[in-house]
Amino acid sequence: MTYSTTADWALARAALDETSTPGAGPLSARPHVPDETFWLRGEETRLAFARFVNMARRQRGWSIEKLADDAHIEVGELMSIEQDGGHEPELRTIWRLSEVFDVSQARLMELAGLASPKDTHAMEEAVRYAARSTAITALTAEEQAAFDGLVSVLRDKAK
Amino acid sequence: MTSYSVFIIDVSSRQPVEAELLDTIGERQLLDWQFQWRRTLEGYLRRLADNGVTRQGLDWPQSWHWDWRAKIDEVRGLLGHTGYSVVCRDVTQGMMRLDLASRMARLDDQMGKPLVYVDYLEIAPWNWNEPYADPPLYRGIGQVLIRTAIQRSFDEGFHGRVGLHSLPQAVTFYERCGFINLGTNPNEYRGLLPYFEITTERARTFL
Repeated sequence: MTYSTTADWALARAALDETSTPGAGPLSARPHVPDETFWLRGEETRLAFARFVNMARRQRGWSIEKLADDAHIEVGELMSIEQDGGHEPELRTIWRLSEVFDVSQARLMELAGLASPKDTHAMEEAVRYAARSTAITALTAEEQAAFDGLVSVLRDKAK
Repeated sequence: MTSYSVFIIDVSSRQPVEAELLDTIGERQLLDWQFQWRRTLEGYLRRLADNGVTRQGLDWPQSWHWDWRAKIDEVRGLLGHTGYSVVCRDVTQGMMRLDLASRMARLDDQMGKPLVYVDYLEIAPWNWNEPYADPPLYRGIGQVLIRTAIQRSFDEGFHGRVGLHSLPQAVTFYERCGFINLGTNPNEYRGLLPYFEITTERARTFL
């Protein structure tokens, strides 16, 4: 690449950005938060999504590998979904998971943070159910109840 | 790796200081991000919390769990992507990842023509101009990186065309650089990040 610049250019240009911090793309910092649901969508609901996938898989007694095979999803993608709350799943992954787990694709997209929730209350409810579960090898009765509640929210295909 | 001599501004002395523009984001940059950027960011988050800024507040940064290493790994070896970094006094001060292949212009008079798209651009937290942050150490890093994107666009035969999605707080910055604001799209980044593009003529003016 050809690149040459001077100290004068730097001084003149830097004077133009005295009041702002440059940043581009979603990796950068400090986007405005338009309302409280932004954070709910972006972090809490995605953690709830991770918990849902984890519990739905374990309820069926499936390994990650088995779910990956059945849903035609990469093992690495599934592991990222279950273990990394910051991971943004692929759209086609959501579609396949909604098919395998028989829940609403739209709701699952909202939970994964890939679509704006039409019903914020339902998403808050889903997050609450997810928060009641804890990661152990088999679903306890309490966990099963939390999971059933989560599924009932996600199965509401009318919305 | 190629290194270019550039200048950024030392805010305390208001004088230009020499820095390096590297045509890579290497392991050294990722280590700076991991151990220096994030540490400063953590201190900034604590200060926000001490000042009563909650996660629902407007001033809360969102990048604390985002990962430059993952973003570089995902395009490692891909010819259509490249990265640049600005290093001053042996520390990485800013990084940018470019997409040279997959994006097309959206402005009416250059619609459909290839451009350089700025996937990510971020400067080190100690250079932020943000509420509750210490005064920035250096200024002008963003200008150096945008100049780099424009120059790369000319070199690629894209006539200086560059596109990007800006953070809402950076809108003024890109407007002052000569970019045209095409607004937000609900299907892109949840409608939060406005899309900006610069034309050949404006790119020449910028340089």
